[in-house]
Amino acid sequence: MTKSSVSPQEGKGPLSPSYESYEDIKQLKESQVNEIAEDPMKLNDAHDEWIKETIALAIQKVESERGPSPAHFAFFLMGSAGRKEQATFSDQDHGIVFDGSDEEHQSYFLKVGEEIREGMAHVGYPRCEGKVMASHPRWCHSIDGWKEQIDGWIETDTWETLRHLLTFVDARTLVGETEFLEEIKNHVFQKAQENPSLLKRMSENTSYLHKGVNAFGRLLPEDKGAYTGSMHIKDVGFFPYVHAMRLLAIKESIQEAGTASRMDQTSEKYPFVQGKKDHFNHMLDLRASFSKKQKTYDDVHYVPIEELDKDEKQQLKKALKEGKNLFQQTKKHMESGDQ
Amino acid sequence: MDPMFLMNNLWVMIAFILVILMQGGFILLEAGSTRMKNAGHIAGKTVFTLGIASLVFWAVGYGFIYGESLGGIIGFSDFFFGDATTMFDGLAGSVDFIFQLAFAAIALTIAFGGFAERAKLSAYIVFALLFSAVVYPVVAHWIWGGGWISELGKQDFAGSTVVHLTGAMAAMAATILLKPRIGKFNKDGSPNELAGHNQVFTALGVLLLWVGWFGFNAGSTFGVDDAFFGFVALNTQLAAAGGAVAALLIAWAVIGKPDVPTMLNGALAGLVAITASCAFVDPWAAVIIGIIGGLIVFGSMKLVEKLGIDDPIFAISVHGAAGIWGTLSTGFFATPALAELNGGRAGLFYGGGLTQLGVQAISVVACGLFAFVAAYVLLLITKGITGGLRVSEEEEIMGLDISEHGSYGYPEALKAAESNNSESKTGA
Repeated sequence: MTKSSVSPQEGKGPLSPSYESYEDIKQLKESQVNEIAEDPMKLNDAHDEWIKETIALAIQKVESERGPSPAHFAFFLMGSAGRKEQATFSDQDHGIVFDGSDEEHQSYFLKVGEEIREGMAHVGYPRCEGKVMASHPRWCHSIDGWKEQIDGWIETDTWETLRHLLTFVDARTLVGETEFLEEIKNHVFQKAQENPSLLKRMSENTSYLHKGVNAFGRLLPEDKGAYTGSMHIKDVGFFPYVHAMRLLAIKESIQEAGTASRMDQTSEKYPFVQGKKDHFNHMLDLRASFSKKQKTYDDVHYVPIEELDKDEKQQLKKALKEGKNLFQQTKKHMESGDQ
Repeated sequence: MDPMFLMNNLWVMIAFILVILMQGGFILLEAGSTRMKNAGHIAGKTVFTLGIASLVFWAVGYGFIYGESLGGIIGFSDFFFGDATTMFDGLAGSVDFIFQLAFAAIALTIAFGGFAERAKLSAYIVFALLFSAVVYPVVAHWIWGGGWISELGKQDFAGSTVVHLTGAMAAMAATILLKPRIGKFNKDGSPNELAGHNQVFTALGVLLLWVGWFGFNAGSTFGVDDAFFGFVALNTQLAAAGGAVAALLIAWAVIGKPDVPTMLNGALAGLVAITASCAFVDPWAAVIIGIIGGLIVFGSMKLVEKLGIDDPIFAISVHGAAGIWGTLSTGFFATPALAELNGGRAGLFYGGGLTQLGVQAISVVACGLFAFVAAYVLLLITKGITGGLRVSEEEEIMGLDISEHGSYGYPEALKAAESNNSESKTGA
């Protein structure tokens, strides 16, 4: 097999790296990030480009050490990167799917995953503490290997394995063969159709709702610690929307990972989804508006409530309320087993 | 011998045992509310300061409280108590004495809440002597020993002011002088959570205190002949219940989570509040007093933290804020019949006007102010004697178990952590 036949295809990722080192990409990222930090769309497109460049360099390094890629593959992002909802700082969540078999090729792609992990860490994406990275055997498989693992997760049916499955559903191909990931996601969707209790179990897996507003209608920022007065917008604000739309996406076999795209595709069928997108986007914009003050990975999750004016607070309260409503309606729908 | 005399004495003796058992409640409450590295110290100091309080009370405390009054300010006789023939209030003198001793020891333990996790052992010892000899006896004489406030008709059945407010004011003076524990507040003044290491201990501590409180309040009837202790116990139970429920609900409503330490403090606040009023109010009022106590303790905990005061065991809020409310509560809720039975006048809600409320308010201000100022001055004296109230930064970080006593309350857990630290420091 020749190198050109299995490298990432043109249009789906860089054929060759534009930069000589991870440090160059890091410099590029640092020089550009502040200009676009307040525009979530542009910022996420830029993240994609920086990560693509990192991957191109990583693949080149592995190929120079271990020879050309032995099979076609796709590198995909998960978590907020998969959903294109990253802030200025974001940790790594990614995986690889390749053609062929685990026995033959997994070791090669784990090496690719390791190089990507180290490259991304250098560029400024901290390693995932939960090891959701292509360098871990759980997140690096052949197409058949992935299907087998997913079947195993569903069969095992523990909180942890279902959490893996939910993480996977937010995958988005960044480089390589988009059909590979689509095929595996379709496998998940098919399993959900065949086994209605799976959606119920996944719904139960994401039951916890962080409180954002107290009984008297006041916002509830942190009252202790370094972020006193700030609200963890990811846990409190985004997650109810993200969790709800992920469940609906599985039910409706929607390939897209983005929360807003999932809303677009389900709002016609589910009236309780209508009108929610604006609130979700508003919170993304709100977080982005504080991006200049965000210096660390932890910072990006917090919005300082005391710096919001009265209208902004009202808008945030409304967004939190609508998110809670969406979350509860979705869970009710999932757990009732209605079609 | 008269069986009723024996029964009364036996009841007060049992009540004394219950009140001493409250020290066990404080051991668990305080140890659970603080970190592992200080657990042995916190538990141990409660026992030896009980020893100091007992010796001082025997030598001079009792005499300063119940001796011949010098102008209503302080008693001055009956030192080194030991007369087996003396009778007080229909009780053997020794029974009365030992019951009163237990109260003095509780006030001292409350005061030490403000010392937690950073005061020198020597400061505990010196201040235990000074507090037990000066602060507590003066307030107790004013209210219970025939002093000037008791002449006004003050209602403080079992000591919301005498024991709890006095202890809390000393705790406040201590915690202000000692300054916050390392890491409690950030540079911008925002607080950090220095969570206690064992909520189960804390809860069990509260329950032990709750049980002991039946000795504290119901024992303060000094007898069984009219079975009034049952009524006092009923009010005590209802107020504690109201405090626990109210604190849990207000925390849930305001901060969005039914916080366990807040709920536990609510139960204690209900108990502290009803301590003054348990013999003066109807059961429905006891419920209200407990509920308000639970709400007040929640607000006070927030306020104290906002003021930048580190109150590790919440002594200021639980014993101070709730003690003030409990003292004032009889001014609102005391019924005419119970006031006639136990002293003072009816409260505002029973047509008594503002008179009793005024007396209660005067006593809160006078006793609170005296306890704070006296404790503050005595702590400065202590500081002079011991060369500082607080352990060094290094000692505080390593924990008072090892720095002050040379052994850990949790040896296996902390020795393992210690060896990890030394390895990482040396790079081994």
